[in-house]
Amino acid sequence: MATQSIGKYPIIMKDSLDKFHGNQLVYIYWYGHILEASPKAFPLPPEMPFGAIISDLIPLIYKIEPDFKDLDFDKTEVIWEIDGKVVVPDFSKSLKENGVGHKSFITFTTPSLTGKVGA
Amino acid sequence: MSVEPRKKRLNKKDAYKYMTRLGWDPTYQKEEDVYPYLKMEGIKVHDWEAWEDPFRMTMDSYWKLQAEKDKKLYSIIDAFAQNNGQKNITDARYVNALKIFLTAVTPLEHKVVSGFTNVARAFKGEGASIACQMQAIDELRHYQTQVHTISHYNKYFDGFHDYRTIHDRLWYLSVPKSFGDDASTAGPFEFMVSIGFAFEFVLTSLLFVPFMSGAAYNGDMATVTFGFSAQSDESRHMTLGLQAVKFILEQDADNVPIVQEWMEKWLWRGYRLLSIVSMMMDYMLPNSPTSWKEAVELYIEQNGVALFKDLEKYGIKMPEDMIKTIRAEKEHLSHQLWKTFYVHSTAEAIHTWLPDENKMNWLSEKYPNTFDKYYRPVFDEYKKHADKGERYYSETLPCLCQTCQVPLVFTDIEGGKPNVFTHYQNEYNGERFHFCSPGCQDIFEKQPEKFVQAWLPPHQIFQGNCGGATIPEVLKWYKIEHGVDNMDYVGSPDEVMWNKFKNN
Amino acid sequence: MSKSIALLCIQATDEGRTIAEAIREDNEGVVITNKPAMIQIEREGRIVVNAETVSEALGRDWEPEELQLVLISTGGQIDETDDEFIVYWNN
Repeated sequence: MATQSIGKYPIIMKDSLDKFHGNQLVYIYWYGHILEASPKAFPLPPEMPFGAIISDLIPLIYKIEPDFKDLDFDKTEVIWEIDGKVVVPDFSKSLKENGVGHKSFITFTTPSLTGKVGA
Repeated sequence: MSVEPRKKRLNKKDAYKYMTRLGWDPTYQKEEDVYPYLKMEGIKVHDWEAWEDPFRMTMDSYWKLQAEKDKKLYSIIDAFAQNNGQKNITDARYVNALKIFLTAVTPLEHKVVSGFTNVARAFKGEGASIACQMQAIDELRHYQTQVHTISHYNKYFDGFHDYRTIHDRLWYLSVPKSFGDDASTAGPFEFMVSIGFAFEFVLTSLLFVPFMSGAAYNGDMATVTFGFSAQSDESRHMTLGLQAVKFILEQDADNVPIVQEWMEKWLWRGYRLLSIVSMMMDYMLPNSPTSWKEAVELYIEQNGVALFKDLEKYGIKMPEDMIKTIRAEKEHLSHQLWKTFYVHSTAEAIHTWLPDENKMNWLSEKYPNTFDKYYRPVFDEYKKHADKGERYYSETLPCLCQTCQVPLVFTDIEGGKPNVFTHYQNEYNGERFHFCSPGCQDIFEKQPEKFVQAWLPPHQIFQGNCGGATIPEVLKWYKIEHGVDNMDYVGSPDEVMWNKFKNN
Repeated sequence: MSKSIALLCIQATDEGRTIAEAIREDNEGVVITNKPAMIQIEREGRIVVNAETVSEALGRDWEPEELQLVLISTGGQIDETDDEFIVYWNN
């Protein structure tokens, strides 16, 4: 049906990259884990090393999860997806170099830690 | 006892005709200049006279009846205030449901005053225009009654002090706000389908009836009263909405696919909007008369389906997939919403709390397939932290759906994965967008120019438009007093005040 | 094929209760249930509120449009004439 109007309808990109003061939006989700109520959003510098997601952001979001204490990025099997594509990130390289762009959605799945709560 | 035979008067049909058919065809201005919005949506109207008002309301009846209703309503509200009626509610936790309802709905009532006035001006037929003008004044009346209710509760409870500001700024209130903005920036025919039909006819019962009986079961007579008084106006609104849709469908076969698309958009948007009601019904009423699941079964699966059967003769198809999703989600929705509000309690103008044993047993009974299996363990886990004095408060912001603006809290029930958040994404004009469902993604893709303008609260915070980068600065900008309006009910000033009330 | 159930909910006031009784007189098979502050009236197909019956019951002249003073909600389509207020389904 498109957007109808009697005059010209402008295109206003409310969340374009230039509005975030040098940061870009990035979303993070630990697949199957529900104690936090949804995937989470962050403003991050594109030059930030990918490894900061592991050291700073994942603990901040997911320390509430019983699985968190068993999450060891050196030992646990982790499958990473960026915008739906499976990748193997280089933790020393930046977000941008790893293909994480503005409003990219990062999912990490741990087959051995499924997020089940309770018995 | 026999009475005098009823007075003879001018019959209703003629009285209505003489008092409403006062319009004219413009002669020295072009019709498309006088009514500039009628063609842009592609809706074809051949005969405005075919628009009927079953109530045949004329202005004299309108003023007489509405004045009578207002006199009765305000007497009850005054009595409630004079007798400190708020002391008779079951528990102060209940008031938090009211906080959500009144901060979400009151500004919307005001918005549709302009909405219906604009539509009344846009439509050429007098029958349509007058019914819309009356609805505009009704909505102003509802707005007023709700502000009076806010005013009373504001004397005793936190979170009511600046309903207009928090409606415009607070993250969960962007859900109703964006719904209202979307409708009031649509063309007049879409507005009638969105508010008049989808909201006022199909969804209104799902919002008001459980809310009003919830109020009645929890001793809140002020809300019951304004609710029932508003509901009598709602019958006229429902009639107007249904009439609008029948009129549009009957005027031209080309209108049918346009209306079908609008119905699907607005039923889906309305359903997502009402997800907050699910948690209000199941978790926020100390005495819950009905569960969300039961309300969905009555108002959507029974009444909603009956309605679409009626509309089949006009060429409208029942939105089967949508109904399937609503049925699949009905045993999960309220639990998912409450846990969301529980963890984000720092950034809210309401209190939240863990369900007690009684409530959890009620939930087990009402949700035998889901509560004990998926959600009791979640609340037990939160309780472990609360019992240690470390009540969990999330320190991070959610990813929102671009269309409905609810955080991505919904899970893949139909795919057999109730612990996996549903997430869809696309690209438009070189930028990525995220959605909770195919329904919301579809709405975006049909009108991307509209939805790229969405004012999403977490993004606005990150852009620096919400008072600052830290949580205390943002709360200040939200006009939320930290430690007073927000966080757990236990330990709140509301709780202290309530305990004093009850012990005196 | 059985018809859908027409629904009429009115306030449980003095006037509302009297109107409900008038409805019971004129509508065979109607089911009337009391709820908090509300009277729920259901009947297969249609519910007819007759102004003469209600006037007789109230002891004064009563017009169908006055039903709006006690009306809470309806389930079905509406038809209002000089003599009756009708809630009905057409399917």
